[in-house]
Amino acid sequence: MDDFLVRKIIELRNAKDSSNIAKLKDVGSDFAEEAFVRNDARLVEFSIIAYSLAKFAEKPYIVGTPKWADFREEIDDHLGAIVDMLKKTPDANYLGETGAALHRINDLSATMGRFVSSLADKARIKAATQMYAHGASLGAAAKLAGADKRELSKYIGTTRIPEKYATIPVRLRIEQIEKLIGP
Amino acid sequence: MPAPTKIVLDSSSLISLADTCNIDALAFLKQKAGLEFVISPAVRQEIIAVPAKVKSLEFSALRIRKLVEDGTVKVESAGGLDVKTREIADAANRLYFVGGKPLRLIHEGEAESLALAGAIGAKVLAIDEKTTRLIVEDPLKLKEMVASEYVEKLAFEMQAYQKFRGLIPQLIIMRSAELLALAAKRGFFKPFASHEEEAFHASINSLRAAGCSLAQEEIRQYAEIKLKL
Repeated sequence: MDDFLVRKIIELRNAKDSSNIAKLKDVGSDFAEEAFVRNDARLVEFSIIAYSLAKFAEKPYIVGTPKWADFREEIDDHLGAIVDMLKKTPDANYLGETGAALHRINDLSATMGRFVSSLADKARIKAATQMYAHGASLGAAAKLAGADKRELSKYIGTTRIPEKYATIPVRLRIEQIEKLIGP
Repeated sequence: MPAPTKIVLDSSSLISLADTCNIDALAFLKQKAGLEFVISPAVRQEIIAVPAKVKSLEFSALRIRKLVEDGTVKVESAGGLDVKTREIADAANRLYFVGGKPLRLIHEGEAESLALAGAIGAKVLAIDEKTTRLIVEDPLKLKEMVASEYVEKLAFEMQAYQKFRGLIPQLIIMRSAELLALAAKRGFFKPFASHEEEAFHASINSLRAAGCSLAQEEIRQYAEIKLKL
């Protein structure tokens, strides 16, 4: 059995049930990191589910509606089904269940969300950013997370991630190139 | 007459320049500094063919396509490029290990830019994203910076790095910020008259916001660059 996966799905369900937004975001980050380490896009789907649940839970105009309770129950059914599958068969194909959960997320985002871009797309950017912070290149992070590279680049520009990666002083960089190309 | 200096452009540097309205710096540098800008087929596909189908990205794609159509940026390939690209990607993606698993750090598009630089004898790669840049310039720094993100130990394989270095040419890595600095020093921001320097420094900030991997300390260093003596 994939201990990490089962443990994290249980954490995700618990965080969803208690509307623990911080925990949902943490679990989303953990799934994104593990997706990158394993090079497994399937784990990104869980990251998106976790981030999306966190973002929905932040919005009073969503959680205050009857649709929210039904939605949470449906997501829980899908996550529960995945855990059961994994306990029976370690390499069970659960993509049907994650796909169905994401479909519901996109539905809720489309009917109740107030933004042009879907919550799942934003969640992909968050997952990709987590991978980028863990060493992935822009292209690798965008591809694995299924995120748009341009949107990812812009989002990273709003973070402090680039602070760590200065190498050669600017003056030397420019001198190197000027020396090569001439005046 | 010496051959023009070839600069291979990765998609990240083109995206930064296009999205900050600085894409004209390429035509400017071609004319003023005799530079030759080249992209790989994968980069062309990524930033022209695919975005052209997405409404919100279509104009950006058109601006970059215009550069290709008017010859400012050339699409080049070479025999065996796909094989070389895979070799470089495979080597780069076996440099760092966590829990015994290799981290697949770079994408084939980034590897293709490196492969193309080698194939056409380019000495400069313009790339804004940080991982490819650090793998070439300072792989141990990348290890140091990324290790803190992991609970498990991050291992760096020096032998794999020797192999990777053997596959890529000696390259100067530059970013869109350095391209813009070259252009600024040659008068790109002169149309702003008395605000020439201000426009240059503001553009550097825009590049940072667009995702060019620039630290605040580097932006401070850019702010010290004077265009007028």
